[in-house]
Amino acid sequence: MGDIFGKMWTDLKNLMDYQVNRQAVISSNLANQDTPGYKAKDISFDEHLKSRLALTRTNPNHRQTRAVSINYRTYTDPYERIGNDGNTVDLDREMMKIAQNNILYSSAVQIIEQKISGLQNVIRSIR
Amino acid sequence: MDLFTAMDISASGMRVQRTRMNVISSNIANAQTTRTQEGGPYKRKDVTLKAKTFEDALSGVEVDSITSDPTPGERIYNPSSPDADQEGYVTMPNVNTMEEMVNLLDASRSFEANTAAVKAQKDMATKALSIGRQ
Repeated sequence: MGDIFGKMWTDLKNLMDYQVNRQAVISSNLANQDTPGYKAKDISFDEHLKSRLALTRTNPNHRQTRAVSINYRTYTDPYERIGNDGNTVDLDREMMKIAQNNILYSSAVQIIEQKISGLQNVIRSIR
Repeated sequence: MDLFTAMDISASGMRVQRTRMNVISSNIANAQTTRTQEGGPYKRKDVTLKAKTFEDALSGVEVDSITSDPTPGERIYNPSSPDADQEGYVTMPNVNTMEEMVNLLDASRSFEANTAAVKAQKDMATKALSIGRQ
């Protein structure tokens, strides 16, 4: 790890950004659960994650990339619900996604808090 | 794109469900109304919803139109009514109270789902604010 505000912070920030975006997508699914013909959507950033993991530094003099702009991939949720209005929003599924998203977001926040308290411990022990 | 966009979307969902509930209430309230401004018995109203684009992939929802149901109402024999025709039949509104109650329940559940989404967004924002607070 290069410095105290290393790559991990950026990654955690990106993860939280993704979860906020996903929350908005879930909200639009829930808002449109009675709209005829609406197709449930979801987003993923696995492509970004893959490319992120594939990045290797071939030379120690190379700068580590910091600011990464992420493009999330929005796709129609392949899960199909049987209905006669062409709407594919499944309430239980969306509620499950909300719970999942919330837990992951909390865990990201918790990791950041742990990191901050770790840094504070180090600072305190110098004095 | 932030949590407030998500809240706006949920708010649009809640607004639409509230409109649905208002329309259903007016249908139930007028289940026996045989005189209206347009003339004839009350016709039940129906809400049509439409997705409204917010940002690229996100869509809120809005009321597209409120339409009258053209199905003819039931004709009951009641010669003493001032609205009875020559044969003594009165045309009643085409409102089915059972159907309206089911729709009301559906609207109420959808409203609750949007409320749950707002609660999740609020929790996320509160958690983000707790970062760095020891």
